[in-house]
Amino acid sequence: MGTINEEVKDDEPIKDEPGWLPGWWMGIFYFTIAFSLFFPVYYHLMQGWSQENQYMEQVKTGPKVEETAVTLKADGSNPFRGDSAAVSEGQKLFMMTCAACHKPDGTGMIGPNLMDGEWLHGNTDSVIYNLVLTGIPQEKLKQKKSPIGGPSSPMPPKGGAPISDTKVLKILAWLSQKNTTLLAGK
Amino acid sequence: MNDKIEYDNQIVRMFVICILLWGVVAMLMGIIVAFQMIFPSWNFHPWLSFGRLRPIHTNGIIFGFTGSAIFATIYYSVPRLLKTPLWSSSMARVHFWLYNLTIVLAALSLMAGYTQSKEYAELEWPIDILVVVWWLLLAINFFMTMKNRTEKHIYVAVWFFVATIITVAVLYLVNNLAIPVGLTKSYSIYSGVVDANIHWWYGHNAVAFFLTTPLLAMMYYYLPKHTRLPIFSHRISIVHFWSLIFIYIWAGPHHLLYSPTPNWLQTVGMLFSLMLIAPSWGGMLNGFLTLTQAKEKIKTDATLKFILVSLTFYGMSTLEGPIMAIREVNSLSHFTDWTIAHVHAGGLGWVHGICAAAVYYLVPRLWNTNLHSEKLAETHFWVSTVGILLYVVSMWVSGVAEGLMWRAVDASGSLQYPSWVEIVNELFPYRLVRALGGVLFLSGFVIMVVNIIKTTKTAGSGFNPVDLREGSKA
Repeated sequence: MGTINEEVKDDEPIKDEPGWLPGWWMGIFYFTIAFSLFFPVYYHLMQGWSQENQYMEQVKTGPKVEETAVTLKADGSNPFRGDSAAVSEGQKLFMMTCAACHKPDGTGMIGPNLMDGEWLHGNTDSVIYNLVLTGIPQEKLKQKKSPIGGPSSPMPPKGGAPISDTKVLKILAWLSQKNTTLLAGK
Repeated sequence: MNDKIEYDNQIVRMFVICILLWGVVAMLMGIIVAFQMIFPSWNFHPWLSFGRLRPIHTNGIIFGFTGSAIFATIYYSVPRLLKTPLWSSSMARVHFWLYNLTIVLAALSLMAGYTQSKEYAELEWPIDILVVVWWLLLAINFFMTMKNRTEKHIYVAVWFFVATIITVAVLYLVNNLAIPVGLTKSYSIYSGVVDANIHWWYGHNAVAFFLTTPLLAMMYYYLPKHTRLPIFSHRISIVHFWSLIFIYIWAGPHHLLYSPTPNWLQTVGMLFSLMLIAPSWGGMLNGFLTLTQAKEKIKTDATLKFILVSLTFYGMSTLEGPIMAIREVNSLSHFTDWTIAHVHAGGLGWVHGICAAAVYYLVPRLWNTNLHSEKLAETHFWVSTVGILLYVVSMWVSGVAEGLMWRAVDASGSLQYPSWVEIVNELFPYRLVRALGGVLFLSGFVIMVVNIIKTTKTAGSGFNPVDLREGSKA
């Protein structure tokens, strides 16, 4: 390394002009301070805002879905079979609650493939419906290995999702349309 | 009287090399995780998986790349500003080696999967203790140098370094308090909402006191030094320094809006963020107004270009941040790519801009030679600026799209995009552009590294600084 001959110049002090404070800049500063004093009084004390209240309000005024509870027909078959509105809703619900384990196309990932002709616990509406409602605990697992390899895992009731029994039937209606080896009845 | 002051340039050279080394490593990690976001099959091995490489990227950029630039500047500028030699050169060397040991141990332990699971504070307790040790060495050396000063006036850059050294020590110690249950595992002494609040008090102020105040100090040093022009307004310096450090420390809860954190505390975080707009802009204004005195030279000088763009991104990010801290905006932006856009506007724009200016200022002086190629520096500037724009704009679009898709509901009140994968697929093109922007940005950085290596080849050939004052011959 060569010697640095810049040293003496290099530690020349930096000059600070006194300068001034731009008015618009100080204006923003004062405004945000004033706003911050006013806002909590208005928002929390006068309006009574809280995230809990906001949530309750949204629940009260948000869209409501009237759903008539439906269950299996007397012969054990799914009443939504062939109901196109229910089927398309069922597909959405599948994406939301089942796809994470069964893959969006239903061909299996952690949970088994639902699109082939092989049914581990039975292939009727009634059997599958009750299976989804109760879930499959470890001791009742029939799947040896998950489709992507690795150990198979138990299935929580309704996949752990807070959906109604009626919605389970809509999902199964979609499944029965995609996979015709799922049969109506007991 | 001070013709004979011996300044320790070797320690600065060592840290400058670290800026380049850790910069390349940490940016490369960023690019790998950006591609893993769009091609999940690129998670080849647990050690090289997204969840482990991401903290290496963030820690590497913050503590490796930026840290090196901060330390290089402290060891270069503080003795010169205070007109006294560094108090202890050997202590600075111990700091250097312990610091680099920390970075290596951090990378290895994170790859092995050891983590405290606190963002930006992932390192386990033995490494935390190592950090505290070398931070104290730096602090002792810094304050003893200050004590021995022969220059009475303490320049604004030194104030910002003082704030950095004291506040980071407090933040780091308090947030990392944990009970060890073995060499590689510990439990935070805090729990629940208190833990979250302490964590984001730390996390937000890592941005404030590691990525803002020391970088402002660097701006306040290199800009007037490089242009030989006075800082525009000492009054702005005073007002924005005190207001910035006072207000920043309260803004942390804006990371916890719409969470179990008490409502009043969320509001405190939001309002202190809004009050930060003017203090943050003070630094930008003082920089811009100083730059206007040399505006003709910005055309020909890459270092000034970096400072200009850097200040622009600083001003933009410090307005965007407070806006994102408003509850209603945050409910859309939180957890989305918008946040990623925000930090990278600050990181790639502001932090890297000032650090690049630091490298271009320091290297010719430290190796006593002229920069190998001003043209390559110019190329670095343009390539990285285009990279930043691709990155930030694509992440803005992606973030807003993501937030809108998450909250979209149909007439029945159920989610319009119930499948997460569907949303991820939708964001693919934006995230691809982001990754390419990152590649461009790293390419720019590599151009600088090559330029610097070539510069050091002619070390000792004599350095002729360019006079950038208005009306002077270039």
